[in-house]
Amino acid sequence: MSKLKEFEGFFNPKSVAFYGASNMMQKFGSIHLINLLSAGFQGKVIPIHPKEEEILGFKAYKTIKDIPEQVDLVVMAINPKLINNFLEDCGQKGVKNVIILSGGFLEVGNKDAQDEMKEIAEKYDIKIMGPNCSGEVVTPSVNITHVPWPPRKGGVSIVSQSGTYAVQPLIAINSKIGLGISKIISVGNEVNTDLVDYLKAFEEDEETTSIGIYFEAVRRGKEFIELIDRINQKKPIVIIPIGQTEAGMRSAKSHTAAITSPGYIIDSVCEQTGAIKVKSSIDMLNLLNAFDSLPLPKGNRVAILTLGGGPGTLMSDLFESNGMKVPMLSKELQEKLKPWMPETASTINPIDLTYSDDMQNFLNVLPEILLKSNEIDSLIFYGLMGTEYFKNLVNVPDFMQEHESIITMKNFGEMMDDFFIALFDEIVEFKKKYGKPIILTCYNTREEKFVAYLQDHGIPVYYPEEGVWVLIRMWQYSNFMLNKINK
Amino acid sequence: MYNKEAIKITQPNNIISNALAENRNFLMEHESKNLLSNYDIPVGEYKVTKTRSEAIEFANKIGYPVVAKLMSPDIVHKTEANVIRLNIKSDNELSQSYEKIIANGKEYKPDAKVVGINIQKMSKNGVAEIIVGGVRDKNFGPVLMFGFGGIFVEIFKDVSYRVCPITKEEANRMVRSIKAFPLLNGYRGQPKGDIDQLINIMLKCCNLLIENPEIMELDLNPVIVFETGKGIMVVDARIILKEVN
Repeated sequence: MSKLKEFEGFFNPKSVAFYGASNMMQKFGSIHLINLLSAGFQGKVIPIHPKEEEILGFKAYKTIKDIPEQVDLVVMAINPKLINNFLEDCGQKGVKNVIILSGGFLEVGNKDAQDEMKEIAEKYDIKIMGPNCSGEVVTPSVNITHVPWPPRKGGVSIVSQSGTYAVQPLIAINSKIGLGISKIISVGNEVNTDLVDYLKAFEEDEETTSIGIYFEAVRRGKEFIELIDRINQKKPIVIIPIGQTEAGMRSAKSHTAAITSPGYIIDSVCEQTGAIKVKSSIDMLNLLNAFDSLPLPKGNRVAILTLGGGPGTLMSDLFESNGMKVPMLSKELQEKLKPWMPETASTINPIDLTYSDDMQNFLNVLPEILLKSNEIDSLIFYGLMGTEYFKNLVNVPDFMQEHESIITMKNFGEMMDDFFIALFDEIVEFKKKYGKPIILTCYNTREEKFVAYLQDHGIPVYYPEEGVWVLIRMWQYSNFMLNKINK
Repeated sequence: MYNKEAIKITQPNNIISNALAENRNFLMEHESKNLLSNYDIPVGEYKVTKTRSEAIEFANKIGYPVVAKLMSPDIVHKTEANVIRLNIKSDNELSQSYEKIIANGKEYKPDAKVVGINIQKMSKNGVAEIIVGGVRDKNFGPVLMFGFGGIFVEIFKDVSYRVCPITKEEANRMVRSIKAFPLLNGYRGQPKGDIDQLINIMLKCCNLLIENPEIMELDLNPVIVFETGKGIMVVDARIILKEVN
């Protein structure tokens, strides 16, 4: 059976039963139940409770065996001492998939309880996610985590050996990063499903375009490296090692080759396979967003189109000192750009408009001239203001409110989003038409509607340096794969 | 790039099983070198001599200067035990060193068994002194390490690693990925090192680690890289085996 099919009960459950949900909203189990509903889950939700008849409006059952119909997935957020007994009940009921959120097992030295869990699972052929995990997200409508911000549907899948890193970045995804998720899995103690299993499922999964791994340790090292090598050629893999102390080499006393640090090993796994190692969770999500939304750069030449000198200069520095080029444009190309730019502006690259109120030139005319040329392989923008900017701008004392120019500005600001959208749709078209990555950078978050619109339509928006690093790493990946194919 | 292709060179040997049978979790230098020789890894000419006259005879055969080291199954750290003499230039000097080394060994560990005194030629300077190492990780299996010796590895930690097995191309990338690589590649008019041979040896070390699961750590340090076409030579080798229960 394919791995994806094996995990069907986790990825596409029709009915989910909860141990630990109660009429107290603050209970962990209740929070998970509610988040599942808020994500738009259309299947059956069944609370199990020893006393209550009804939980949060749903009919509750005393035990799982009392539930008349089949249960695809069980979620447990209860005292760990109770879990193995309930797991036994689940087995007898014929449940095949269980998410155990509760901790209190091997991670606190309670090996016996975890071994017993494993035995029960084996006896009844139950797949367990966890224990000691933060659950899962499967877009569009499964969110069994404690974070009430289900992400939009997209192609990024993440498997995490840290529960917190698995799910709490959803907050930043919602407010700033805006990437599209396919699946997020928190593996916990990996009692009988592990990192390697979920990676195999992601490999088969047609919805997954790129993969993030929060990596702590893997028991099946050989299988892991072979899998990473194979998947990474089709779906870019971004790894963030966690809990890896830089032990380095042993002291000179016992010579220097006795190198046992797992940190070095995961580094070399990345070097060997071309998987990309990053050091921060935000870097990982930013990069995955780009891999999911953009075509890969086919070369290292970047055009920078900026409303301001500083960002253009810093971006140039970063690109040029990290293996990319910000090439001077040919005379011919510069001549084509000139008519659409202020006289004082620089056409060399970075193409610095310094200030322009003609957004059509900045967002459509100039980009298309650049993208159409064979002189650059990707395009990065800096600088844009949206409705929120104008809202703040007209946040003036009452006596000024009725001033004509304030009213004009207010109206202008309100029109801004609609005006932008037409221009943005063009950019989205350019991406498809010219097959080159396009990134927009600015200091706004998704509070500005234009940021959300762009991100949701496949043009990533970052802070300036974030965007540069994303492009650099995309090129490193692309370059590694080009060399691999050409060899 | 990672793939499974590897050149298999298996030669029968019982060096490892003998050591384990003696409840010993390391190989003595001459055993390590013997094992390396089985893999066609150049270790230079050496002989474990049992008497002073045998040592002098062998030194005359290979020519001075020579190095003398105590071989004992009870002494892992030779430098710490002060049982190495470098750059011995004459029969007389060798004769004195011979006695001194044995005395130092006894002082360091009174009940240390002495297998003999290993005599080898004092190696000529090459283009560079490097380290090829290996370690067996419980999850990933053998991992190969490459770097320059001395301060490069100790202070700058200028080393590279790969999970075995690796291809020739990967070994090449591994060598070129360290910062000190220009020192091997003809920096400022210096001759270029024999990088092809170095890579060859690294691949053989991978095989050695893969084919001998009892080896936990491998430390070829120093390895002298001579100029292109002149090969490399392992000067000292340390192999740690799995713990004997």
